[in-house]
Amino acid sequence: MTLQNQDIKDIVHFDRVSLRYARGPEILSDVNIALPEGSFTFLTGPSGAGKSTLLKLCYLALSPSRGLIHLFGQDTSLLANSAQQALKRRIGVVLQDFHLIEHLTIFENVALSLRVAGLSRAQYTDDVVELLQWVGLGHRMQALPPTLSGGEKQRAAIARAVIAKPDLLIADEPTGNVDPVIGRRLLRLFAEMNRMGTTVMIATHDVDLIKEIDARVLRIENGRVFKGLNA
Amino acid sequence: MAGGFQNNTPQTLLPERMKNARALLCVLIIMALLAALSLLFARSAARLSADWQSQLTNSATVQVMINSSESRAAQMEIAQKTLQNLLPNTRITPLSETQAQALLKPWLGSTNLPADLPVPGLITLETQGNGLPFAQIKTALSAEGVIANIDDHTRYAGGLQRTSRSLIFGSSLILTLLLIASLAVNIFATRASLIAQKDIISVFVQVGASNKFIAQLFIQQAAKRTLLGAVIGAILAIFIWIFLSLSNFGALKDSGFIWDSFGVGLGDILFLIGLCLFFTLICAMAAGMTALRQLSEERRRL
Repeated sequence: MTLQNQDIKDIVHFDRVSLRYARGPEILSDVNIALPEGSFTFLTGPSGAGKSTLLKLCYLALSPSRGLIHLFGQDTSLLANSAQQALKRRIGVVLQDFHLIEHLTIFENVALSLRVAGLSRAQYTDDVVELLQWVGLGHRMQALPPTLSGGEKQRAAIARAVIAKPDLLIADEPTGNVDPVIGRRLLRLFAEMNRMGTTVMIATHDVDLIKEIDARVLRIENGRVFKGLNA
Repeated sequence: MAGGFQNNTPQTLLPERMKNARALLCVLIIMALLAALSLLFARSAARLSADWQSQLTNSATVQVMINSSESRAAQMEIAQKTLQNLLPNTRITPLSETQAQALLKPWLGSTNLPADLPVPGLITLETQGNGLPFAQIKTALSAEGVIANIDDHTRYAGGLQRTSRSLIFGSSLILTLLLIASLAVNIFATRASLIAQKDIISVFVQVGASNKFIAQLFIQQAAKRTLLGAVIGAILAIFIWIFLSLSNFGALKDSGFIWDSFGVGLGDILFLIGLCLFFTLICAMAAGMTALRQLSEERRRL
């Protein structure tokens, strides 16, 4: 049964979503998930299980081969380009490989989503500086990404994802390259954002991290999604 | 909080240093140089043609058919006086018999002409006004018993007009082809740039940048690149044109050819500025449209 837009209250809603690349095997099969507004969800599972692929579907970097995805109550298959871009501006994404722009300073990288949203430099400078100081990069604002360590790049990528106060925050192994202290600090940032109303979904291998917060856990194995940490 | 933050100019979102940027700039400079030279050539041809047309319209040659029963000097004097009375503000210059004979040399060679050869008496007329009243001249001379032909130079003027039109058409065609080639260069450069900067563009897309926003970045990049190339090309063209005008150009010097009498005037510089702006505008638009089309195709492929 196809769900009507008005029926969907969840921020992310997958209805029997499957995905395969070209004629290859299905990476995801009949996935049904729902992330209610203001929820905090961990997505875990072994490497190659399809965590990153599922996240890509959530932030509209891929389209499903089958099934329906609703984001913020809207059927993504029916959205025009401009509407998709408007939705993307409501989503903050932290990727495993950071995706920082190498010729831009850390300040400019973090400010990117605000510039894209049309804010002037005067409007965003204070926020960017404050956030960079909070994630421990206050002294590296004018540095270029290639001069940063893995952990610093990770923090810059997280700062870029959260600077625009997104409604949905998706993070793929966000604490993979940082030490445990910084990792906990970043998790506190996500929790704080969640407390302010942002729906958060974090893909991670780190069971200790999952145990830090009382949050819902989804486990992905062989392209299928299950609830809970253990089978 | 941001008090110590000094840098107030946002960085350009696309990298300033592109791969092969210098080679691309060189191509654009050469295109702009050739386009500017074509423009200067077309304008000079038009201006030279207009000058010559004006000279021809305001001058004529009266050929007095010498009647053997009267002396040449007497007939020339009657003709000159008649013309002076009719055209008081016109410069009237009678040519001597030797000068008139010298004009026949191209046809008859440098052999001595027979003494009884009826060489017509020649009188040149030059005015500053709007042409000469040829019919009145002919009537006045006839009334005084002078048989004369008036060469109003229309034969040369027609040929000159056709030649100048051909030169202007040829230069305009070359200019148009150069602009089209520059457009193509910018389209290729934009496509290459989109491929080379795929990772950066994916970040822009991820943070919610619209195709229009990204295309604007490519428009700015192409506009900067093309304007720089166009300005350098136009300046080089001015120097080359001045050099050609001033240099002793071998057999062409004083030949009355294009660069013999023309330098670069204010009008030419204004036209070159216009060319640079037009060049920049169309190349930037081409870059923007290419980027938009390419980005739309990418999104459709998703």
